[in-house]
Amino acid sequence: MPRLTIDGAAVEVDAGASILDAATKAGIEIPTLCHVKGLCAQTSCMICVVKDEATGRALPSCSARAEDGMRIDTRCDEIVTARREVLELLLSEHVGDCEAPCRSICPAFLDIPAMMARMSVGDFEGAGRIAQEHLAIPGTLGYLCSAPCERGCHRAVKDSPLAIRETHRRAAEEMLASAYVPAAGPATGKRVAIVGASAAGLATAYMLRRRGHSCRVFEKTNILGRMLRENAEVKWDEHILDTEIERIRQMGVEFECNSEVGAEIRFDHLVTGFDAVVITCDELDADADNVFYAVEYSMAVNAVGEGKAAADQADRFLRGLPSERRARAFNSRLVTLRPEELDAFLTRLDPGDTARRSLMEALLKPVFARPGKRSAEKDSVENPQAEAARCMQCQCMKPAGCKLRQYATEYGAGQAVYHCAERSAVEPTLRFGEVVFEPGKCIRCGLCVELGKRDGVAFGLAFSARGGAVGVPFERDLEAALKTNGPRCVEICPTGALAFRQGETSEP
Amino acid sequence: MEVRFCIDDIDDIVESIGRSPDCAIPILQAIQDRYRFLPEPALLRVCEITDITPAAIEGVASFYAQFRRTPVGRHTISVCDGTACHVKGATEVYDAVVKQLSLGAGQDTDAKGEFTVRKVACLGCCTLAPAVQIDEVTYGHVQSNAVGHILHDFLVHEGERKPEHIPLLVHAEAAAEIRVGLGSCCVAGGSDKVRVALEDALTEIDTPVNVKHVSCVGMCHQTPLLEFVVPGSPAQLYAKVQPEDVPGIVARHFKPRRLPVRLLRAAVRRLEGFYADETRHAVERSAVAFDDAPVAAFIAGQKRLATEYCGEINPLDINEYKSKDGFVALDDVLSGKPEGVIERIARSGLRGRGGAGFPTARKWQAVRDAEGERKFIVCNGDEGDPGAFMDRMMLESYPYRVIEGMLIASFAAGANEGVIYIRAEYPLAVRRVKEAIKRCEAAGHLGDDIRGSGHRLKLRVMEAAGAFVCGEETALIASIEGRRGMPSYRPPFPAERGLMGCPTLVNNVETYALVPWILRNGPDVFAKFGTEHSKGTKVFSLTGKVRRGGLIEVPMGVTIRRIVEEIGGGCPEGRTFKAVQVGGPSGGCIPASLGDTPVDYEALAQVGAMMGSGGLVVLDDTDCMVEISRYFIEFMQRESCGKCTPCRVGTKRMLEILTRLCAGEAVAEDLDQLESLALRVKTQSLCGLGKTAPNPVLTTLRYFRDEFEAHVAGQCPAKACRKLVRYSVTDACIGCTKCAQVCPVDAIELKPYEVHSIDTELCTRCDACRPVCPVDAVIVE
Repeated sequence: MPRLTIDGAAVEVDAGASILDAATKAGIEIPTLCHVKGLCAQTSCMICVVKDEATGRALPSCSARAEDGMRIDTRCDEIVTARREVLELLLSEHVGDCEAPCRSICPAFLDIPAMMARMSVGDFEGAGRIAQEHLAIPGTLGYLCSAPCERGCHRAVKDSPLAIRETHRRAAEEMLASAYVPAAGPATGKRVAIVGASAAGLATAYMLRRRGHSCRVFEKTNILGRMLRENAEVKWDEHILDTEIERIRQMGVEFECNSEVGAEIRFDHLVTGFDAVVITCDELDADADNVFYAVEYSMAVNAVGEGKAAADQADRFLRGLPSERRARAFNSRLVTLRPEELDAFLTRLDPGDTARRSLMEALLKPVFARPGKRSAEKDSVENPQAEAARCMQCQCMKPAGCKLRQYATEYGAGQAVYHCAERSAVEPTLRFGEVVFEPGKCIRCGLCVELGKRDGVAFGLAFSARGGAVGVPFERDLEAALKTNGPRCVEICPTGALAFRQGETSEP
Repeated sequence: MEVRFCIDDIDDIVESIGRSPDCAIPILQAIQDRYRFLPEPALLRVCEITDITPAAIEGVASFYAQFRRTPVGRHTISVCDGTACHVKGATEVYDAVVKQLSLGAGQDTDAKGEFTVRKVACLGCCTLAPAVQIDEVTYGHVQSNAVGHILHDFLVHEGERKPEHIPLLVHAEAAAEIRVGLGSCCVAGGSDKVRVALEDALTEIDTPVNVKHVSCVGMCHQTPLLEFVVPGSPAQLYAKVQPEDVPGIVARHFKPRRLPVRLLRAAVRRLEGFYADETRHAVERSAVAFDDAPVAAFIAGQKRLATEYCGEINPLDINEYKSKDGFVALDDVLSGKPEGVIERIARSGLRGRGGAGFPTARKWQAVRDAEGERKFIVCNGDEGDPGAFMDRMMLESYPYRVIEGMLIASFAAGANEGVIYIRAEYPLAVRRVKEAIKRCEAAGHLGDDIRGSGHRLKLRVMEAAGAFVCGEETALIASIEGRRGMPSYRPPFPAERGLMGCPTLVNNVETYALVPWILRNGPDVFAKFGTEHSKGTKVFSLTGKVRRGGLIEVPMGVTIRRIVEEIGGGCPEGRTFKAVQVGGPSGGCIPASLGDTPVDYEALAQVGAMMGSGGLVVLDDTDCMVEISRYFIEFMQRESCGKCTPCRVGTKRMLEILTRLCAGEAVAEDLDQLESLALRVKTQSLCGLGKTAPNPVLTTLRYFRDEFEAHVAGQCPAKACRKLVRYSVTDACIGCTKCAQVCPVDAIELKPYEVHSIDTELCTRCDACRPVCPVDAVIVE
């Protein structure tokens, strides 16, 4: 029985066990992409490397045997760098967006594809609630947002970018017309003071209230949302903002007008009197742990994004979580969809969804003015549902379960480290039942190939060519490869290459 | 192209080969032999009637370079892109073939379906660089402007070709013999035509002389070679013999015995010819004495153990092999104990000649000690390094010696089944080894109860299907088992778990070939050659920018400089020796300044190179080191099996940086990234291929960083990178129009008696014009 030490911890394992087995036994986690218990080691991804201190060599822990007397280091800088660089190599070949580009551009990280999906089936109110969830003042932003999201829309390659802002406004209006009031989260007993009641302040208060903290907003003038009203460059109905503020009030947020912090209210009283303070104006400065800042940008959506971020920080602080700013999850990007890739890209959409298809086909012509031109005063989208159906749902179908993304986030790996000659082309997506296969996201780990072999699937997924692209033998349908073990293949696939068409689960 | 497909053919093929998964590669090879590509219905039929799944067959059929899924032309043109060919203009030759066949982008077969062109990693005829093979006919020293002529020549002579005939003409009463080198290089150099001319000439004079087909002579730069051994006079060698020289040479040595009347007239005419000045001149031109300075220098520095009796013995004559102490070592071993053999091999200090230099005896002992009833022995003849042909030459020339080495090793290690794995690109080696196995079986040297010892060994040949990575032992085993040649992590080493999960001894061709000599002459005699840790000799293929290229065997410890300058005679006139690329794509470039580095496993590793299997390509001042690095990484990238991330993706990113450098589009940071990427691939790849792939880049970065920096600044000091040079014509031009005539893209307007000029926009930098200019007026800047 070999005895070895891993990160200083002694562990004893059966002869023939791998270093990974030994680490697992010692409770030490080692990242793996191409390893699944019960299938033979693939030794492909090379992210599971650990350092053998005696030789200084990096060993793939999934395959290297644990030997008596070994001293293994799993987390020294060398190994962290090695893992990061291997991830960067994999990412340099990864074809696909983790998040839809519209969403990753949005400063408030609005889940635009989800919103469009609801709208495309006629559920405007549901879409509006998604907007509300992220934005605090979705109706106002329906007019005032500068819509940077539309600049990222891949749809531009085919005809024109989706009219995201206008579609969104219609959804928000539908939602505001209902009696819906977002619920406050379960009470935490914590009190937060927010200074300034414009976009950033409103967003902060809304978000913190959703998480169950009591919020009081101090505004030096007598107008709530003053900056939003003053900065508006377009004609809009200010009553929308009034309605939205009213709903925030109904959630339990308190507003104090004519209360200038530093004049009527002493700042130090706020700092000591509240569990946390969020400042959205630049006049105040304090050196206290419980004070957070959000910039009230003149671009409304940026200010809302700031408010959300400050709320996140304050919330973490109030819950006693580590104070450092949480890194945003790694986001793989296609950057530009090339015109010749569009047909392949559209195969990601569900061909069974005929209603959506026909709507899309009816919309071959642009119906909306080009981005950049402010056109809020003009209601140019005649059929918002059809417009929403033009959304290509560019996001990955496994955004949370993808191990590649998780490790890329954890190790701070970048995608554009290497100046690749040219990004690999988008390949058509294959589908069988609930399972989709996007070859561009495959990291050639071989797990699905191995599983097919083990399960005796004659036309199981196979490596082809040098370099090991994975595909169905003899260009058969995906059905031939996955009819017996499709869901299991999705489960073991470490990336979004094999996924369920509805997202992370097989339930439609 | 219409293909007639017959299901019975497939059934017959499967019937004759077998139905188990390990039959996949031989079955596919047989199908490809039959149809010249792999028709899909044929593959599906194979799946129906064998244990091979569609998934497995798809994987295998798409992995190996030999297999094609689409129909091909009647003939295949293989343009060698091995290192030696590459530095001598293989790219230009390939472009010329593409142009000659009028192929569009992405096409490889001409409209008539006559020819299909492909680049191949290495044909192993490096001394004939650049080389082109059409079906089984090899053309050497191909100039890009001669491609049309070659294709024409091939079609004209298509019907006349006949394969090497075995057995040979033997006159019992003959005292004299004439040796014809019939290794692949010699044949490619024209020795088969010389052999036919020789047999004709001898028939005419009717003198009993044995024409003997001998192993590679090693002096590949002098092919075709003829050696006359007549009792009573010193052996006489003729080099670069042309078929028309043969009657004159024959007449110099033999007088006609009797002349039948009907031949009298012809003979008289020929006899008259013997004395014509022209013929005498040809005879003298090709006569070389062994004490001629260049020949003496070529031979003097060498020590032939693995290639003993080089150029003297008939490769397939088992009796001659026996008469030259063949199987003596085997008989001696079989009468003793296996442990004794291993002990003697250990004492000789023999290390694996395949690259890494693992002590041979330890490997044998490990297999011997491994648990298991069934053990295998494998001979690794998958010599995929571009620029190396040692294994080919040894398998072609000394098949019995390799078999004897394997017999001894199998006895020592306790293995009873074996495979000799040979590249399919070496058809002659495959034929000869198969024939040698047959003859050994007939003579009781292979089979059950060998020489009454109780030891049994069954050997078979497996033709590799074209994948460099299969030189790695675990990938090689995967390939023998009928799988994609993807390596697996070691340990377990094959000695513990190899072929079919059984302990397997894998050694390289040269290692086995040395074994009989060591045991016959004693391990201590062997250990006298070489350095402290590298004993014995090493066979190298010496090619590139060197006057006397060929197959050489030198004692370990000899310096690189001695090999290049004394044996090889240095670089051709007017050029300076710049570097030596040792060990192929896994090795490195050693600069001329480190020429005193000895041939020694550790010393080579210390300068960043490695012994590799023994390719030695000499580079001169016209070779761009950045371009050479790019060439090797391109090769490795193509050959990467794709299993592990660092090798699969890392080499791709390295190639992109190197391509940018060669195009003058790189920035200074690219060099740092290239270096760190190279180190990552080296330390973190799964197998030997990936771990050594960055060596050519790392060594060139280490010794020639200034050249990389020059490329960042947009200059190629060697003037070799096409995108960084410009061709022009100086005022020295005499208006002979030769350049305009050879220009393949009409970038030079034909203007008789005027100074010509080159349209830089149209110019492809093919270098066709420069060498034809009689006054050196075409210059490169």
